[in-house]
Amino acid sequence: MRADGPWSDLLALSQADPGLASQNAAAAVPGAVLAPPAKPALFTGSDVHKYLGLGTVVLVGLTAATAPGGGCEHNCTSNTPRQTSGTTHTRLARATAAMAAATVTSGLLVHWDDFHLKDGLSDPDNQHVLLGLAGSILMLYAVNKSMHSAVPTQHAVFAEVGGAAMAVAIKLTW
Amino acid sequence: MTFNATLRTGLIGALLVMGGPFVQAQESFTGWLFSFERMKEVKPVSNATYLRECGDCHLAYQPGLLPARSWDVLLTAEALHDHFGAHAEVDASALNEIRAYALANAADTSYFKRSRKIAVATATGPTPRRITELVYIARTHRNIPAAQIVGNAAVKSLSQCDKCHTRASRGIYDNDTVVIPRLADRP
Repeated sequence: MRADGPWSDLLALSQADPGLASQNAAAAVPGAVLAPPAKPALFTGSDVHKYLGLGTVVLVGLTAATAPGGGCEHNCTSNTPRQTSGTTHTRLARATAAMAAATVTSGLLVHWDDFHLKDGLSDPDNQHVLLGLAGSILMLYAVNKSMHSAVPTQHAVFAEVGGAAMAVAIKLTW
Repeated sequence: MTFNATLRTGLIGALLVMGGPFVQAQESFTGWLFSFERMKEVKPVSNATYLRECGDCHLAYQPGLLPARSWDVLLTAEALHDHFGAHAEVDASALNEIRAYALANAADTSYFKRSRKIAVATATGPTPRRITELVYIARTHRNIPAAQIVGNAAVKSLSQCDKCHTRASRGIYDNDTVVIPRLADRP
């Protein structure tokens, strides 16, 4: 493509090598020198949020895999008190809930300006926020419900739906 | 979780991992769904003619930065006679190829996240003719002082994406890769 007209100088400036174009721009200002370019950060807030989210989904899977079944740990009988702490499953569940909360917090801090309610529900960032937040609340609810119950209680479905919601939220903006 | 449930979950996971590469070749819903490739930005330009003809004069803006109806207006022989103040010449066969590529990869046909945001934001209203006209683009740049864009000799205009977005040519426009060039302080 060839171009001419009043724009041609600017078009020429923008050609392939941005570094060269910037040098040209600096040269166009008498006495100006282009400052050495800063390098993008190697690890950013976005990365923190990303790895927290992925970690949460992994922990959801591990928590589900270590669930004892029937609402109690091994050799549970009707006379045995239900264990709500100190087991692999309960420790993983608490870690999952904590990581989910940290994921939501970091997302709000780092990507605060990426979602706008007026863009509607079809905006992928809005979908991500809603699903991620709903997933985290469901996981926290499941942990809270189970840890405060002395008898077996149905909580797995909340945690699993919460984990699935967070996985879909990640996929939508992956 | 019982052994059967674990096995079932593992099998589904394995299918997703192994099936992904086979369906991601084509940009489609299933391709997007089963792909582990990051698709949060804009699809990089993959057409050599588009890269050559558009990139000769300016950044070869990815088709996913505008909806199809915008490219439909911009990429005609008549429109290129006054291409934002410049007279751009492209031969007919190349223009046909560029136009077809842009329409096929426009924001409203893409599964890349930033393109989907642009498609949602431009679903109604007048046809945008410039990327900088998009409300979404204007909003994401509103907090940058004018002195760093139009008042910056190394940038000059918001349309010069690649001056600050260091990976713009690969379709990456996130905040983490932005470096606003600046002139060194004079002694």
